Amino acid sequence: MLEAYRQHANERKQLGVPPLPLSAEQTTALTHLLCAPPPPEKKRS
Amino acid sequence: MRPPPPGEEAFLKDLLANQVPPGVDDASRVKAEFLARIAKDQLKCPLIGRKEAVYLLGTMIGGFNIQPLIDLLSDPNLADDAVAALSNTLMIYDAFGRVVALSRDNSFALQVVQNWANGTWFTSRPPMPGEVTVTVFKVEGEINTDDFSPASEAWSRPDIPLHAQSMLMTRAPGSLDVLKGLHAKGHPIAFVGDVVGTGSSRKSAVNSLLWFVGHEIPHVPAKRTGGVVLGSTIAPIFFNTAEDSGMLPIQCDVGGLATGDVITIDTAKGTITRNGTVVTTFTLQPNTLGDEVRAGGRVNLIVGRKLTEQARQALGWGPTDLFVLPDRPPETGKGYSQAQKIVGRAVGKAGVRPGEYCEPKMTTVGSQDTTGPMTRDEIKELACLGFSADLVMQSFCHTAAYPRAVDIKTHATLPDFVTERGGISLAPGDGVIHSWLNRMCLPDTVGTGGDSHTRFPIGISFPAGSGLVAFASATGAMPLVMPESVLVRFKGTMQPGVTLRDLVNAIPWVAIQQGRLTVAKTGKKNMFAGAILEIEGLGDLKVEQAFELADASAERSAAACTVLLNKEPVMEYLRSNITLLQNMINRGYRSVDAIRRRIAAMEAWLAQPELLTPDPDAQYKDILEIDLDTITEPILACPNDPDDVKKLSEVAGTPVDEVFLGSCMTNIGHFRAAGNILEGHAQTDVRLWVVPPTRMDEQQLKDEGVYSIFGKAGARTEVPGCSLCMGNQARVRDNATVVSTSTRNFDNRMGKGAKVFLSSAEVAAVTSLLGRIPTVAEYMSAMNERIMPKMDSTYRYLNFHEIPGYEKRGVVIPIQPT
Repeated sequence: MLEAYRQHANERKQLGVPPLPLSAEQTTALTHLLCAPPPPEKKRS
Repeated sequence: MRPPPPGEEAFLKDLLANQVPPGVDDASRVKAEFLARIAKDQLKCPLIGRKEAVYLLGTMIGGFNIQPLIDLLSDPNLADDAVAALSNTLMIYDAFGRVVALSRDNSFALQVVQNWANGTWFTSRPPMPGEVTVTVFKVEGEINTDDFSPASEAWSRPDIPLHAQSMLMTRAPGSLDVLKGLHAKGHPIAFVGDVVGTGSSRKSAVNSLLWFVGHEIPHVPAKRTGGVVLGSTIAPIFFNTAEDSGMLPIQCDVGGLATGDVITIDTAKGTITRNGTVVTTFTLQPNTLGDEVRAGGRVNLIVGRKLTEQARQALGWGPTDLFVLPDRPPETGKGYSQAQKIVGRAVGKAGVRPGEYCEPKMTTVGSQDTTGPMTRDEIKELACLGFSADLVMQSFCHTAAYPRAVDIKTHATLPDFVTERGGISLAPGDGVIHSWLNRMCLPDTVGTGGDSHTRFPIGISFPAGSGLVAFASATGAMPLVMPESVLVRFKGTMQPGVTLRDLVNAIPWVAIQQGRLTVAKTGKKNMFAGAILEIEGLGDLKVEQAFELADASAERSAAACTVLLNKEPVMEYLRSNITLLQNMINRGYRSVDAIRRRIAAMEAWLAQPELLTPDPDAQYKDILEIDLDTITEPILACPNDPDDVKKLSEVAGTPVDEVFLGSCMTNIGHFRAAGNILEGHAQTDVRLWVVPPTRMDEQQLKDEGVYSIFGKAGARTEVPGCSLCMGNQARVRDNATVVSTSTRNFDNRMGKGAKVFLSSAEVAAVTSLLGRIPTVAEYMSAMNERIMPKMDSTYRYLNFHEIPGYEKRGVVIPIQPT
């Protein structure tokens, strides 16, 4: 997720604008990275 | 548990804190749920502690973060943090009641309510600075909203930073580079223009401007606030949108300012100085502007003020003096008009005066499908998970007939978005927003809608842009400076052969005769502009007919319209509508609660039917009397200006290529009348379009055999909806001359180069047979032969309560799985 995000941020930089806000999918991936990864029994059903 | 990727910790935390949109986006749901689990100790995260999780929840504005924060008020270790987080959160909505209930035995919850009551959300923010030093970026002349946000770049509007790159691209190419270069002077930029923000009310114009002159908002990605805009004239809707977004808009003489000037704005003294010399002066308007800037925008101020007021009431405290009270017009002691009383009731008073700021309760709100997706985005930004307005209805009338791929996506997703929040969603093909919304209106209540024709035949509607429609839906109220009223009084007797559409056109016709309306664009006079049209003297009209008058107040550039009706037609209309609403429940329309609530409110009104009436000494800005005895022939609006009205005899004989019977200006009576006129005739030479406003009209006309008359006449019928009226679906041929029953005849709206007359359905039907506009004699002969002998059966309206078994009509019974 991070690599793809950085690439996106770079493309946006070429256009002179900041990256797009995170999508729900990206945010989910981010939460996993922040705690890398939550134990399975804690996952939402 | 694995540790996070090494070296990325700060970056990851920044992404979570600042790059997830707040509000009720899908991403903010993920973020809020994640933080809630950490805060509640259900999830351990090495990078984010419990306290920090509560803090971050407190930066999310509202929506999914609220309930976890309320829960945490009962956690002794984190309750203080939850208090701080909730105290500065404004988008609370109905969670307010839950916090108040909890405050009876939870001292932390009580602290939250007290902080709300003390307005700490406001006092913790810095006041509007007394002096602001900025660098001027000036564009000469008029800068309209299309210059800020070009329609050709509409696709990028949701992406604010990217869309901003197209600002001024056609109006002043290369000027953005100049603007960006000015940042080197080390001050924020002020946008300066002679006439700023005219044109359509698009929020993207302000978004783009803010991207260059505003500052970032902590924890909110890709959006900015603050900033200064100076204009000799700033268009009212643009001004309001700037206020809403936290900008400081100032109207002052900008003649002495030039790009690159470093100026100091003294907000207290009302001066603008350059190198210590006063260049120009101003008065901050409205007087609440300082509070708006401090609150981070007018939206925050209105929501926050209400929260503070509610909290003080809950605590039994008196009113606060924390906020500047809006200026009030002097009390005249005179009576109130109908509109002033209706709005008064919506704010809990006997009436409101013109010029008075108020926030009337929104009882009925409509949204259609071209502005609906924008309204949806705004509703998300307001962190709204449930509408506070009693009834919010979404229609699909503008895109049902010939949807593009993007419309299909809207049709698939918008209904759930609306019904999940307690609104009512129609289906594509059901028909025009207004024809439906009118049937959900309650007498003497206020509403709005994202369409300039959202004007109610009972009660009053103030149509608005997508931002205000979202605000009205979410909060159940709308900011309004009460406009002045113009009384239109009909007297005398309606003459044979004259229809209601002719009375619609008689309003500008008489105003033109009296020199109070001019057709020429330069130096235009318009006694109705910006006012509320209050129509009297036609009390026996059916409500469906009354809408024709209210609807057309849009073409007069009036802010709103009331029609003074007798009780009987209103009672009949509501009885009919209760049956329709019951039918909607049986057909599976959602949300059922909203429909049931509205039925109950209608029944309650019917149990004690009383209507507000104007006081005899009510004050009007102007009065226009129309003597019905003097209106003896049809009146048409001529190409291409709804104000350019002429008598039939003045335009008779004009060859016509196409005729359109449809739009919200029509009701079932018009189609029967057209059927009577067309009956027995072979195919018309002109292209004839017939599109009833709703599926109920269509069904009834089919049941009565009227559609077969249209078929024999060679008419092209379409899905009930806006059809040709909006010009975004099927269109007339290039350069065609058209007679139409639709709302407005702006250049190129119905077709490229089209010349459009607006007339009654009766004139339009006769025209379709002749291929030219009829003479008065031809028209009268058709009316005498075909309409007059059966007036009662022709102008009969949809009384659903008189149709046996209508509640169950069209109900699909699902096959039970065995």
